[in-house]
Amino acid sequence: MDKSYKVKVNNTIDFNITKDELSNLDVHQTSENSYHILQNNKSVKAEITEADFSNKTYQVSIRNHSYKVSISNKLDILIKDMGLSAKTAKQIDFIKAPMPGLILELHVEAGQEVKENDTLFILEAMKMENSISSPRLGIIKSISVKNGDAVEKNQLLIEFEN
Amino acid sequence: MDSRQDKIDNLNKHKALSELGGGQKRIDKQHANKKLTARERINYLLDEGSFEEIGALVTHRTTEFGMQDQIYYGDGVITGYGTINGRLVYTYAQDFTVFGGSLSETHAEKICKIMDMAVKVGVPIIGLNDSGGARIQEGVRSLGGYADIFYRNVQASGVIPQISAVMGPCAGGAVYSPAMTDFTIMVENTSYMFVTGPNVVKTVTNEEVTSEELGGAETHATKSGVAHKTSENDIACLEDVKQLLSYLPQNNTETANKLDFKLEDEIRDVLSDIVPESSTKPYDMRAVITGIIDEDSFYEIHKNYAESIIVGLARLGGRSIGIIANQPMAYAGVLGVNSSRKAARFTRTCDCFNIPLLVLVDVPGFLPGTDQEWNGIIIHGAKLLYALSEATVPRVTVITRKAYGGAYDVMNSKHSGADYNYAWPGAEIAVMGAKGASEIIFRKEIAEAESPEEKLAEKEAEYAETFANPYKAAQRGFIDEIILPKNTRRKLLKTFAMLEDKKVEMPKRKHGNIPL
Repeated sequence: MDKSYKVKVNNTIDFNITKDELSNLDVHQTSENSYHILQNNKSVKAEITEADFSNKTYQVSIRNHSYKVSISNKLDILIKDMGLSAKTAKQIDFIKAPMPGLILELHVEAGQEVKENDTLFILEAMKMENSISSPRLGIIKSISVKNGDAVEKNQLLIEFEN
Repeated sequence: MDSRQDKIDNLNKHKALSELGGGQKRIDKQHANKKLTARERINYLLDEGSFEEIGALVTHRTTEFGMQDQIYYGDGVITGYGTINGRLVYTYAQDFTVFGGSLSETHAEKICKIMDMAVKVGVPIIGLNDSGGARIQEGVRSLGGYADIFYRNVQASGVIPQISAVMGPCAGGAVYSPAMTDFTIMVENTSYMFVTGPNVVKTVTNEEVTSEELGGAETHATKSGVAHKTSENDIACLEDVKQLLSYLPQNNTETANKLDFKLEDEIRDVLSDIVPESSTKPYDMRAVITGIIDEDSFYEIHKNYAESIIVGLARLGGRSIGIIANQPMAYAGVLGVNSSRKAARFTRTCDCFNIPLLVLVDVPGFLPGTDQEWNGIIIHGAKLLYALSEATVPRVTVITRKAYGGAYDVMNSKHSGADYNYAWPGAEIAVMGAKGASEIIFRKEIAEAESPEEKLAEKEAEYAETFANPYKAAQRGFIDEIILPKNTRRKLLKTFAMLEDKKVEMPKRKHGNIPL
């Protein structure tokens, strides 16, 4: 792996530092979160006040000033450039029948605005009345069934406006 | 004679070549396809700087078809060990940039080497699959390589956790390695698994189908159940692997890490209102699960496959547990062929890695019909019954509503060896629903009555009054305690703590004969 890090301070200052440069720094750990650094014959005390290891961001306090420091290696930058991330919310635009059954009651109509968890319709299946609720806030674009229709599993029932 | 510096330079040159796999051009192509390279995946999966590579300078020995002129260090797979949140794991990642990640004899040898080490050391192995298949220039040597891996998958099964991430193609014989590991996670849109590809399918059966349709992540997560989970991209997949690992122990002689936990009042009022008054109204069993377990700790497996049963890993008081729960929202929570197989497999996974089981029951019975019978619901239902009866980990049941017929027996009943069985006050534990039961018991009386319908209603109420409750079962000791829903979490915390040192001696035998 490339042994250099890109460091961003307060989203304003950028610099690169290599592993070799890091190991040549004159740093002493003085307590769990505090460090003493000698640089250009100047002595600096730094304290890490907040650490988010998974996002590699740290809040560092030096002489009563707090700095937000984010560190990324080559892989972090690549992942960001490729647009990959562990958590992306998928927008649901279609409601399909979760199982075969009978549409008992439609509670919405085309053009209507619904909130998350509002009941969309009741689907009777296996002697049970299943209440299907909206996964998101949105406007109903179209409904392709009516009361009393028998539906198959995965049949498209409701479409949301994008 | 080279100087010492020359020797160092020479080593560095070899290492740099190995790091580059199939070269920058192919790496760029991998990136353009929204895929990370094998090395990048390993670096993301493991704690930074913890990876130690084994066999970086291995090359193939093939001389046929001009292969002697195409030599890449590593031979299409990166193998080694490292840590994930401080825990030692072995891992291999197939390198699609080298011969399309195809499996040669030497490629297989590298994988086998670390599998053997992982078993010896007793730590999990994680395989990151991205391979076009067998190295066809090698013929049977490549096939032998696959079989060497399969054999080790089986020897390691139930000894160390084996996790497969399918992050690209995985076709032909290659599919059987993930299939024999404990978990398979597939990346959406960039991965597929099938025994024979669309071209062969077309030739043999005249069926036209795309790779994605035939064996993409969605197919295997919804139709076949081959994939335990799907992830949106490479990064999400590797995060899913890491999270999954957190619920598992290092090997079958250990228990999973228990997180720190301080017992407080642990009353959960939210559980009180989940089950509707009317028994024809379904509810979301996931709400019951989240009401019981530690916050945000549910790791669902086979989420979109055989949805009438829910299985997954979770934490309860910091302790890793496995949950099996009927889902009234899907097909009323019935047991069918696929839901039985799903729950049986999960039961055995938990049992071999010492993960206690919590079973939440709301089951109206087995799914009726020719489709089910002809597909062997008897055999598949038996799998679940067998797997639970055989499991020696702590086993606790909570009947939230219905427990009817044979399904009552199957769903971790006292009789099947469960350790502790709770029921909520609204539980209905009986051979069948009140209507069906009255039609049989009082058939003559109903037929002879002036108004059969009224008579049926009367008898139905009588049967319901007698059996649609948990008290008959509690009188017999089949239910240990009837508890208020809001106290469920508190009770379960104590029960699982009490059962922590449970030990069961099994009679000596080669292995049982589960109805496969």
